Amino acid sequence: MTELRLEEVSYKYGIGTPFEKDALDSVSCSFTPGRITGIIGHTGSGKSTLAQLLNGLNKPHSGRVLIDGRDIWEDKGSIINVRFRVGLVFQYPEYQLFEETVYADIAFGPKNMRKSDAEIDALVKSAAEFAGVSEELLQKSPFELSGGQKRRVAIAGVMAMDPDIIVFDEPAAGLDPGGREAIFKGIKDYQRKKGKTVIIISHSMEDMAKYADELVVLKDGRVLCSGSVAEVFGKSELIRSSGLGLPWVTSFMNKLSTLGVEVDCGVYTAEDAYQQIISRIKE
Amino acid sequence: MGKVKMEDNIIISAREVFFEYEDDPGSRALKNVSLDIERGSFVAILGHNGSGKSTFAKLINGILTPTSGRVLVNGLDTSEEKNLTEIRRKVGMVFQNPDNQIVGSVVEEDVAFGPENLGIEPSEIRKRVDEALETVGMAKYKLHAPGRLSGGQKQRVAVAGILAMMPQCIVLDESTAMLDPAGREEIISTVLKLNKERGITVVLITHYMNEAARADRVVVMNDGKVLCDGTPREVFSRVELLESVGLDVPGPTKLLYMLKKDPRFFSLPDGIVDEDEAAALVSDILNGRKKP
Repeated sequence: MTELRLEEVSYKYGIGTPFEKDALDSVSCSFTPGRITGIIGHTGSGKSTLAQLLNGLNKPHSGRVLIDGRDIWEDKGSIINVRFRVGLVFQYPEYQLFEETVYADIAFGPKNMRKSDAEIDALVKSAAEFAGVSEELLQKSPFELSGGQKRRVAIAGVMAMDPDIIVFDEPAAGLDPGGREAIFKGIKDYQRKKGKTVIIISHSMEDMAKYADELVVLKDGRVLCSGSVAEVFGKSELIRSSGLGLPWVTSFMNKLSTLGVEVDCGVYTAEDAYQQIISRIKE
Repeated sequence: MGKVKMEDNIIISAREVFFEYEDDPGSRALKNVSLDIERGSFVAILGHNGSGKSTFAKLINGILTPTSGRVLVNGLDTSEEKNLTEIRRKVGMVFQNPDNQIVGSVVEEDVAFGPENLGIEPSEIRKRVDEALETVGMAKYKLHAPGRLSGGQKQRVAVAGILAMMPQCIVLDESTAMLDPAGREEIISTVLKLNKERGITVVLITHYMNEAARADRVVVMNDGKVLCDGTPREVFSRVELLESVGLDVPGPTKLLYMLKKDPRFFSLPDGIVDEDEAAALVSDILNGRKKP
């Protein structure tokens, strides 16, 4: 399985201008193959910049991005292959649809990869299914679709390239609760069934508590902490200091604990909180 | 101007409003919506995509007009063209995408755009722009280029642009949907302040429950109709109804709802949205301070 790792990566914006800014400062982290890793942080923490380094869209000013131990910039000419292996779904990707039909839009990636028509067809159909794009939409124009449907078409377009690793930058931004859940469930399903490595950029602690396995927390362009979801949310003081806010459940349990109730504060789903509270009353 | 008689305490009145989008006949985005909004209140309109909430927002200041029924602002019918200038002076809209509503190349220029269009004296505009930027906490950015601001800051500039027109009501049409949690908080606390300190009526269209929980009144829309209407506590007490239409309730409300099914927690009240209040109630029972 493909392993993706960052080694002391730094990236600056506006070099040589008065606006020069360290967007990422010596970031090292790795993404466990076959798992969902959430990258969380405030706006301006560097998370979207990080996403664009993962598939070679931008080049770090220092440090290395390694796929299976090899620096992706070792051979500049082959960077295109990195983009086929690491798919990137941008924020608000629905603004990037342009083909005449939904089918053609989803097929755009695999076509560029010079796949045969039969392969393309299979890839398009499987991706559409995972992303929740129904069969009857495939022949429509992308511009006839609702915002949520367009978002799913754009996601299918990246899934259709069948990358080893797929990076989603705020995939549920702007969607209502139903829309968010549909997108995240689709991603989780895809990761499980295809055994892919998934990286999700998000500022929602609640969503990441529900869907991620591991987390990397960024603050001011640096890694504040990383580890399993339970490990990260266990460090409540540190998380709070980042200004991100804990998932409400964790914060609720912390409050119960300060009110003299003995509870484990390392929980982050409503179900776990419920179980804990119920078990306390039995004693 | 053909004013319709309306009670003084009502600023916006929707009466038996139906709406169909022209390019989608039969769509019935709104099906018989009647709603009065009180002057000085903070009303959240909650619903998922396609519920009709944004259509309703656009009817308030005449961007859309009802297919049948009518919408009155201060007694003025929005479907009469001649009323629109006056209506838009009184009701300002902030939209969803922060990048689509900035027109000026400098923050203060952008804020001045509205009052300039109203033909206000330059010295008065200067005063209003400064005050508006001060109110939304963006005064020190007045000479900045809007493009370099964060989403939350851009939306605050958009709010300032509306304030400078001295409206009686501000409608936020999913204005927080594209912002991060910090940006959302900036906007919500700004409009709460305008509502509490200046008595400006706020209509907040949103799908975030925790934002709606901070309003005086929550109207839930589903399938083009009003599903329920009341204080946040009343509305969020109806967990099953809200979930049946694909909406969540705020986290603490849901947890207490789950606990309440256990007889030992039966005394917990419904519809608690505040985390501190919920924690205090649960700890009282667990610590035996209150009989379950």
